[in-house]
Amino acid sequence: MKSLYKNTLYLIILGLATCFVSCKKWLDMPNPSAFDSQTTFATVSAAEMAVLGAYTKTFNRDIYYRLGDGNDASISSEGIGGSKWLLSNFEYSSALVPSDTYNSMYSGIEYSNVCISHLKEMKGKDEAEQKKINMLLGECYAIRAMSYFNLVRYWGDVPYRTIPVAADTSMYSSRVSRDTIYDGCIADLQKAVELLPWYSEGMITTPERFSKNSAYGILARVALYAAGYSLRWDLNTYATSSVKLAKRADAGRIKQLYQIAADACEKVIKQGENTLLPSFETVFRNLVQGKFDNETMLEYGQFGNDVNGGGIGYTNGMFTNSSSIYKKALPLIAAIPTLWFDYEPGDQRRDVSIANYSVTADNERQLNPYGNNRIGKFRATWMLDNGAAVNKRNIDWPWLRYSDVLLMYAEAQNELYNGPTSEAKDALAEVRIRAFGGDKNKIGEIPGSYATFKSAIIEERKLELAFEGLRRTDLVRWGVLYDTIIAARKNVLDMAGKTGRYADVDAYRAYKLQKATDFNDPVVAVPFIGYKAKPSQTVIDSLSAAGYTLLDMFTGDPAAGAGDFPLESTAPWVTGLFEGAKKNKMEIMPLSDGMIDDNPGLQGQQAPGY
Amino acid sequence: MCAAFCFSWIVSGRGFAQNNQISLTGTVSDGTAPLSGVNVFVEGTSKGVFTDQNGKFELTVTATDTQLSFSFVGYQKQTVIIGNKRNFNIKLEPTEDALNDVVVIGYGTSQKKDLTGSIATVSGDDIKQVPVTTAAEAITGKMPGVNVVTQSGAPGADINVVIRGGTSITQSIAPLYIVDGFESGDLTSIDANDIETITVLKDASATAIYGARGSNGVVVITTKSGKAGKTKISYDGYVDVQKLTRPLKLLNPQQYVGYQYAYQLLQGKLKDWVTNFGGNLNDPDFYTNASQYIQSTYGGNPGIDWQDLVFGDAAVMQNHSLSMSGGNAKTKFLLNGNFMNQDGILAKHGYQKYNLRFKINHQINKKVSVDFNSNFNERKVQGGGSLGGALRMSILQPPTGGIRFTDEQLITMDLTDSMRKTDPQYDAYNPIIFNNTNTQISKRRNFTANFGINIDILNNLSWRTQGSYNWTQTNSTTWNDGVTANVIEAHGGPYGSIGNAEGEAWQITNTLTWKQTYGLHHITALLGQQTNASQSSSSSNTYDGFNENNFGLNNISMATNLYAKSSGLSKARTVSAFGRVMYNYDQRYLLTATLREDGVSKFAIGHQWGAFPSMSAAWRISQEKFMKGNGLFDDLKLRAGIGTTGNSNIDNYMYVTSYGAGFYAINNEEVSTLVPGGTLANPLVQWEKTSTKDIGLDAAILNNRISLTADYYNNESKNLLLKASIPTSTGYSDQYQNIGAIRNSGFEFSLNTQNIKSKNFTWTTNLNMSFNRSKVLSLANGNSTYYSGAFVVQVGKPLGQFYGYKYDGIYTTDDFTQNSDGTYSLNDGVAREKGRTAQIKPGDIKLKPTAGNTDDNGNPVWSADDRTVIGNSSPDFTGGMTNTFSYKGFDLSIFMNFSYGNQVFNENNQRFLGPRLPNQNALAIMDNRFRLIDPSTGKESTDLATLAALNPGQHDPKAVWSVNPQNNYNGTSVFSDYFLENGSFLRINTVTLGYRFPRQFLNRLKIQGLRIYATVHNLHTFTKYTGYDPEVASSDGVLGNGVDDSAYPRSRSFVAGVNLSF
Repeated sequence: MKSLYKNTLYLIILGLATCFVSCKKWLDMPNPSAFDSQTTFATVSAAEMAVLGAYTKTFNRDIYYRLGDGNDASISSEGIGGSKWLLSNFEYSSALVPSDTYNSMYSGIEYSNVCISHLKEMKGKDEAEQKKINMLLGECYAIRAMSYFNLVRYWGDVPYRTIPVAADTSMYSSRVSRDTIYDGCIADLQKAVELLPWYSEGMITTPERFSKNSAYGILARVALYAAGYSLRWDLNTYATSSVKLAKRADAGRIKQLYQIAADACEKVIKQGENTLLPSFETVFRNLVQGKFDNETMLEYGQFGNDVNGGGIGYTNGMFTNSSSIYKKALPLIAAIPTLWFDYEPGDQRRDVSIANYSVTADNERQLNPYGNNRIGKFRATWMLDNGAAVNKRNIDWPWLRYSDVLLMYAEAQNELYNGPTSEAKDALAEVRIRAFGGDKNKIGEIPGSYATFKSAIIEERKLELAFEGLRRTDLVRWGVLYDTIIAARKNVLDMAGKTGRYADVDAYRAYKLQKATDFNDPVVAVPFIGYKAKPSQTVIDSLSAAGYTLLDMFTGDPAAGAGDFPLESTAPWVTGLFEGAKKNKMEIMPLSDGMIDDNPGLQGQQAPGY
Repeated sequence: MCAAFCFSWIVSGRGFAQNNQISLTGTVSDGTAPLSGVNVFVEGTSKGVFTDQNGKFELTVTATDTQLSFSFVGYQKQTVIIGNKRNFNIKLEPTEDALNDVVVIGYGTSQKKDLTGSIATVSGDDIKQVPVTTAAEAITGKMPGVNVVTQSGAPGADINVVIRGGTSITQSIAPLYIVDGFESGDLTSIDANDIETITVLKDASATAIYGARGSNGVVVITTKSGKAGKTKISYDGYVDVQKLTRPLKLLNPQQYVGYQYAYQLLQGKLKDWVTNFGGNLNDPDFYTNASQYIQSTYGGNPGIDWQDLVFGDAAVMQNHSLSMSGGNAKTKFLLNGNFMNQDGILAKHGYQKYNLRFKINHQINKKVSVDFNSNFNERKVQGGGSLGGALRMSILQPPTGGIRFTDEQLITMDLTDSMRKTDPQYDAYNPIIFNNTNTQISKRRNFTANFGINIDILNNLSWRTQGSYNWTQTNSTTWNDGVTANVIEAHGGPYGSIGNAEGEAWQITNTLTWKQTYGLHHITALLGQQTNASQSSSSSNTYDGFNENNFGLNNISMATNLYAKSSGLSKARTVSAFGRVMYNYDQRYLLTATLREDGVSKFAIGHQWGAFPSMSAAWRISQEKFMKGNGLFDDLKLRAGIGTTGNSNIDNYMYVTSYGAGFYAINNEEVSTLVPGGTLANPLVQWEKTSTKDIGLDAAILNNRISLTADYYNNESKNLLLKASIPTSTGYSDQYQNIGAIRNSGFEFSLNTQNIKSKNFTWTTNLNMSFNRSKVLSLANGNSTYYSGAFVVQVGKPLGQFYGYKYDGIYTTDDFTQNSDGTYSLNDGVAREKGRTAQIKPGDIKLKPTAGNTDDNGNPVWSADDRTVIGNSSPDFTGGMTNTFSYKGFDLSIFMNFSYGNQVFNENNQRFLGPRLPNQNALAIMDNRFRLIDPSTGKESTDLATLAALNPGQHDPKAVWSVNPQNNYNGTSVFSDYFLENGSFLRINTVTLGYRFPRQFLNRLKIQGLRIYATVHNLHTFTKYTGYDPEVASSDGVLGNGVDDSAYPRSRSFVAGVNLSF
């Protein structure tokens, strides 16, 4: 017995000793299911996955929605008093302003910063691999610049960091002058255009990643914004008295920026890889069908269940009833009723941009009363299927189209030479000719003076790029947001009262209620016969005998489920339109309470007036 | 450091064998009957035996052994001198006071009188008296300083156990649970019937032995063991019927239709109202007749009582336990099986539990004993704890279908599509269909095995090795029939998900215990070492694209689409060494010191190790000579202790940035990407440390008829591990940081009194109360404020502060001046929302400016700057009181618990008041709203005199706003003290009446014991709270207490049960 105890004891001691040969090793437990920053950048292919990860953060729905809505093309169709309705009508408050875009852009920036710091250290094993590394680096510079651009155009001066946060001395950060940030973005994009390949070189498969082409386009966009107006204040005092809508102080740099923009556009135009498609309609059919072409130069990829947060075609689509073959598309953005009349006769962009009909539960194309016009560019009826889900429709966001490059070129030339050059006029003409189906005779006179040409550009960008997420901030950079909004509001009231420009618009329209039968529906707009007043009973009878439906365009019934928006001057959605508009305030978003609560560096830095 | 663990024990060469063997025999009884299973041992050694069925024993001792002791649970220990006696007839006296009770402490036991730390216990006998489903319920309100809040009334709901206020701000403040020596994640896998004792270690002098995991307190649970003697079979069972206590009051059909009229009129959409509720807009009298029409058409209509339809059913619960125990002096066993089935008051909600425990102890020989203990537990939760959608939909559901739908259609059909014809955003799905279409089952299996070996190396030196293994498997499935609009939108039809998670944990503990007495000096020393390793893995897939006819999740090969997928693996390890010395001199001066050193793999190398010392002392004044013979004090003890504990309870791998899988879309395909998550790594992250000071007093007087335990404590936690929100301009949303320090200090006491003690009638009372005060000492990087949801954490202020606006009533007609054109204008000097340009109307929500800001015209304005502390979720005190009466065979116990001075954020009110979306109902108080519509015209009035006459209650500081669309946001999204309510309550928690049949009667039936009882749970709650129940929490942290976020209502239940033993 005695020896049994002893033996047991020794066994235990031995067991104990072996258990603890090395505590250090025992406690070293790397994550068995994830990479860390060392392993991620050990190979070019893993590094590329990290760069693609940064792309996912470059877009957020609010860019066209809660931050981009509320201009002379699009308004909110949410119930009155809802948060989107308030924002669209310039009722901003720090409690209300959404932060999703802000957060997403900064994630993209941080991911880019991490990638840039590691990619700079990587050496390719051969020329091809080095070229790939350069391309990845170029993409990161471009992503960082475009993300900062999206922050600055909404919030002005924001925290600015160009190194990974882990390498920085503090996580907290204060506002940095927007001029400094824009200059940084310009520098980033200038690096990017050097590092990136042309699209034709075949290193990327689709415009869902940056090419030299699109980087030049974004460079021009950023340069124009950097040279334009924005709502500024003294960053030292935050005094309300210092708030002014102004360009940056250094006139020399402004001129330089216009030069940069013009040169960048010229590079793209000269390269000749990008063109306008003959038909405006094809641009958006391609887009919603997931096809790529030479016109749309940069897109944010949307496909499947995991990468489809943009809500494109759902939040900003045309109305389709849940029971229809296209299932539910309940856009909370509407086309402002007057927009339809801003297009000249023959302008093919009108019926593509604005959906003048909705799809009912029985798949009928029902004509919209004026108050129910929605966005046609991202319509479900042109798709080939319903995508991953009703709110995940697999539609890419078009970041940059070639027509934008042409218009930016025309604008920059006009600014540089204080009047349109022939190249500028040609560029504007090219956009308009395509809009009128290639018919040069319909485009009218291209203006010749600086001011008239500028006005023409402002109008043309609305007609060409409506609902593409730039309008509101474009109006700010021209310094005309308030005036434009006030005019737009007056126009809507005039239209509701059938006076002024709208004295003669159709009061009734007769159309044939026909069914859509399949995806890729050929219809662009529902044709109609217009009546300036209610037709006589005889006419009504003959119309109905011929299979027509008559619709009161001001107060008629919209498609079931689309919501009722009577265009009457006393209707709350009309009287409340842009009710919060206030000059020298509405041109910038306040920081949200959360942004300030979490970041002591921003405390006391709320935009004056909020 | 490692060297510390690689101890090598050198055992002195003293021989084991002894000469001069002496044989002793005897009988032990309680005076009337023999006692079996009594531990008979040589004092100062562990040499001993147990008495047999007839109370007899035989024991061989040596000449050096001087004293023989007899100990048995429930009886006073007796020690006799051996001398020349060889036969002993011993009569044991039942325990009168609890001082000799053996109390479980970390890695050992101690007699209660020898304790120096702050410890509270509940015995299994107490638990058995009143039926409970979980161990946590068993300690609710029973122990001072231990606050137990069941998050909601749902079957299987999570339970928050908070000891002395907890030590963390955002992290879990759950204590460490030790079940039979094994670190266990939760209490729910323990069957309440298995519990022998629950000991809660509260201060660091008691918890420091658990080092890095001890700072939130330790709950030590010991399960029952078999007892030597005749095999005993017992059955305990009860049946319980539950019913919802207080439904929320909602608008009736007439009020609802009137509310909708106002809503749609102000939105300019009366056309939709007409579609739903009738009338003709073209009728010239439509407006003037509207209120008459509503009354005549909808008045007196009782409407559909959705709450009754959805939650109104009585739910039955049954619980059955069968146990068998027995054995002899060498081998004892226990087998206990339990089955529990609980239906929820909401259909498709329920909870089922099976538990099987087997325990065996065997004495191989005088020196070596082994024990084995295994437990299998299966829990099936159907539905899940949160009521979430079902409650929301039941409240918002229209009480009448107007002219469009009959009540029957409303109840039996999903009308979402039809509703959307007038109201595209309609989202109040039919709660019955919504609930029935969704089947959610979570099945969790848990197996634990403990194997221990004790070796008495020397008489006073014993070794114990315990190996433990725990395996947990959770299978969660969700199946949705895909018939409701929201699911059709997202998935096109049915979808389902299958999730599997598996966790394994190992633990090896080696302890060496040395007990020695030198005269009046008693020393007990413990040296130990422990190793833990755990890993958990999970995978989850969601499928959709099922054909119409399918077998659901039974055959996922029929799914055409893998909707979502994920898996993970995570590992963690710790190593520890610890030691404790307990010393007492003559039972008068007691001293305990402990030290633990922990290494944890969760931190970066260089930050993995921490040391946790503690020291405590006690003075038993009653043992002093000068106290001897005083007639008052039976016990008087002063205790004091200090110590440090840690908390390493954070996610794994937080010290390094992990790149996980993400996706980007290229060329109509999802391509894989690598992205860091939203949490930024912090390589410097390290221990959270809490230092505790505790001063306590134990006193018993009047023959132990009144006993008191009181403690004052002060816990200061430093380096608090916070998942801190960081500026999103970093690209991340949060990071684990060691920031901040808090202090919890407080006073707690437990008072036991035997009010009446006569032959047939006794009345005892236990009252315990806790007064905890917290204070934030510092926060991150010199910050003074930290925000989280409805809460703000401020340096110098207590935890649990609600942060928001002060509700200032509504704009009254006095705030305006009538203009000559019939409109009105807001008077100068009246506060308004900063930057608001939309017209302000009487009846709009007014919030109180506190920061003194003004607009350009000098009018006071409010904005985010005016948010302030508006309340606190922490009670001033909490406690419980149990009164127990017994008369002959009857026993009656009444348990009440209470909380005073805390506030509850009634998030349901915020959600269900409106105006939000058309065609949704609201709480009944919405009928007290400010009326903008003049019923005589049926239109909005702008005449101030008319409005004033319509709204006589407009000056009420808690007046309800109008349905002006501008109130949509301020009423339903802005957090103000309007939604804070007094959360104090006194709950008559359980009332139990039992009857124990007399022995003479049972003997004839060959039954050992039989008791029947009836219990009412949650009989009544005295509270001013208007929601379902004030005892709520939305999460298990400090910043979730007191938030009523659609909590599943706590129900009242009636129980009938039986305790039977053979």
